[in-house]
Amino acid sequence: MRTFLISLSAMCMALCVIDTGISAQPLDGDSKEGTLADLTKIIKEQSEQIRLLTERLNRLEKDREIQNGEIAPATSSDEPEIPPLEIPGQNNSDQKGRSKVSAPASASPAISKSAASLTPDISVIGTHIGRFFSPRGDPDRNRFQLGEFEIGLQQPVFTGIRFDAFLTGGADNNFTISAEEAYATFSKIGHLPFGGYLGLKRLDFGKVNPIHPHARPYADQPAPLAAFLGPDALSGNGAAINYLLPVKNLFANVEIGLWNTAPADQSISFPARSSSAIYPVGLGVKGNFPMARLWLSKELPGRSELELGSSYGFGRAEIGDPINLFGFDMTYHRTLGAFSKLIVQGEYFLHHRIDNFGETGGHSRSGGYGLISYSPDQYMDYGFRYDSTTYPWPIPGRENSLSLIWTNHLTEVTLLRLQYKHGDRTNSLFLPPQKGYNELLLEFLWGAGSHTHPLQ
Amino acid sequence: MNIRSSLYIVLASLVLGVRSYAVVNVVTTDPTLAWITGEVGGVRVHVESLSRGVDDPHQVEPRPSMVVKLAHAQVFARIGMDLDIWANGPLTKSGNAQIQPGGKGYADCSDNLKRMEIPPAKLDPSMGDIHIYGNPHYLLDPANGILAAGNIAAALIRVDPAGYSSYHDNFITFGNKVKEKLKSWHATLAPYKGSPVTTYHRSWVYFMARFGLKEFGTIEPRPGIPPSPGHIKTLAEGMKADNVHAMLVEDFRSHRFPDLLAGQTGAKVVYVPLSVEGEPGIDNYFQLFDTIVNRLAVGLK
Repeated sequence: MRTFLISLSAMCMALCVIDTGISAQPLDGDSKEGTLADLTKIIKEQSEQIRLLTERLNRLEKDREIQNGEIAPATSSDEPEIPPLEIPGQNNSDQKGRSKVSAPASASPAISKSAASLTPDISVIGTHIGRFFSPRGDPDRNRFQLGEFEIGLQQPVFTGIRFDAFLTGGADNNFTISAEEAYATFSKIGHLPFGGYLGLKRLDFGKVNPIHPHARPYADQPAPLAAFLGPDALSGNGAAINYLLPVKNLFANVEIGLWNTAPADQSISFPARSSSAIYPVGLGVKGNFPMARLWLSKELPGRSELELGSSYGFGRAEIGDPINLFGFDMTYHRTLGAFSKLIVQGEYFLHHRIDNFGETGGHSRSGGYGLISYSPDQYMDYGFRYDSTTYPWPIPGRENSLSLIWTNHLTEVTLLRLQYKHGDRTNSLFLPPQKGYNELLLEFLWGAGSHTHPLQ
Repeated sequence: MNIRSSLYIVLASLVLGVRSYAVVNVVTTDPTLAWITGEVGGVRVHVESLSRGVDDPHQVEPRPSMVVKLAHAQVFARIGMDLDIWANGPLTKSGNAQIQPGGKGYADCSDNLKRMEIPPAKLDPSMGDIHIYGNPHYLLDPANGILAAGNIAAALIRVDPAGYSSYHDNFITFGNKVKEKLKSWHATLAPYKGSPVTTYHRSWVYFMARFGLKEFGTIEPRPGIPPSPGHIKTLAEGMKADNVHAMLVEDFRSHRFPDLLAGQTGAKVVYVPLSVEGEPGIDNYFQLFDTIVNRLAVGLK
């Protein structure tokens, strides 16, 4: 812009010189006067042009400085203006002869970015886990190492449709990257009053299963979730629709889905045993898993909210045994201050399997956990969790444990967490059985980039 | 016609006449926006805020009850610039197409704002909790309340064109009130123009710019990051050297570090609400600024 102005100034000066030169040349009366008048007019026009451009330049420079935070956008001497409202396509003067006013033609853009880009939101989250004083037999004992990293790719792909993909690599599979989730969320399906999901997803079975580990207030998978949903999560590839019941003052959401549960999530080897056999853990269903969830929530007086949920799903094991899984969950959330909050949460699972192959009839197993989490300020969380569970038939044994959890939020996306766990384990599903075991889990979690999850 | 019949007619006209229009249901992310919406919408709107005045607008926890409110809303007004990004989850879950981004009932009140502190192209978490679209605390410049009111009025007109005259007139009235009140706030703070003020978080850049004050430094070394002892020491030394008289701190912040600094430097801590309903008695935008301006003036004396 400055170069342009300098060029313009140079042009004007050149014109002046030309003018002087022309003036010096002998011309007859009329033509001389006409030429001088034309040149004077040009110079005046150019001067006006320069003045306007200089003003524009000053305005642009001021805007740039405001954007860079170098100067304030307004000063005490600036009188704020009341901008006009416009409605294009309408006669904006009303019958009373008021000033023409109108409103913007279209609604606000989704997000006004400083620089346009088609790149989806990309985020990376790393979780370092240390397990100390755990029983012998745990290959990760007394090591502090990268446990998992997650890459998130998220973007709206159409009006009302958003796509989320989360690729993860974990220490347990040599950081081979696989899709943990990759699904589209429909805020509304056409003109129907339904929303929905389509793709590979952690199932909305219970309260915590769909929540990624980095967003939970503890470092490990609660024992009943590991037992009935899987050591990582219960995931499936398929679709679900959800419907928000038109009830005022009560959140009532029904979700019905049909998922193909991934076989890899349904089995685990027993490294601590001499046998290398593969045993079913988690839900135990292979193939179709139709499920439904009713999620209720009510705002209560005193800045608190109570959520209740019930989930049900069924399917068949690899050998054809019918399996039913029920889940019940409760979350009480109370806001105590700007940053201070209290969460009381519990989940209970009931797993029922009919042994068609061995003809031993039906077998029910159950387990649950309870959590109290208290945040006195924006930097600290203190938690207490009790787990008690058996395992899906035919896995024997049970596990009870108490956890004390301390979390320090260094920033919104970085935290340090310590979890002390004491309990009894009478099976060898994940670790060797031991009565009165002690574990100290140290978690360091970091994140970069914009990362969001749907309301869970 | 006897008295009873006349009474029935009067009652019927009241019932039918008072509500001869449909009330527009508006949900905002912030109580200040809710109050401004009430001013612009008048009797034609019913407005509710998702957060409360005592909340930190950065850290509101999305709850399912918000989904219910959004599902029944015809207009959704937000601060924008990612300050209320927490509302995105409930907004999507509501399935209410009219108030989704791009819908006619969606109002991002930061539209057309002259934004401050737009960060450089490359950002990383070591800089703290930086907002990529610039500093979002623009409502703390009263003049930007007019901008927000304009964006809200536009959304109301799109949703309820019949109320155009009412929204327009209310908007103009609100704008003129702000302009009038600005004169008195300027007069109160005029003696302190150019004075340095320490803040806790970079919430006050628009306010400082409006009233010609100078932000000396922040108690947080970077946005969202708690201060270290070293930072407090350096800040205290700087405040003493530059004769900083006041610290402007939002009510909901921890008092620990401001009080520590006050003890070390002799500067006064001015605790103020950040939004309408941030304290008992702060029921509107004008009371909010009356409180902030008057307390700060006392602190700067």
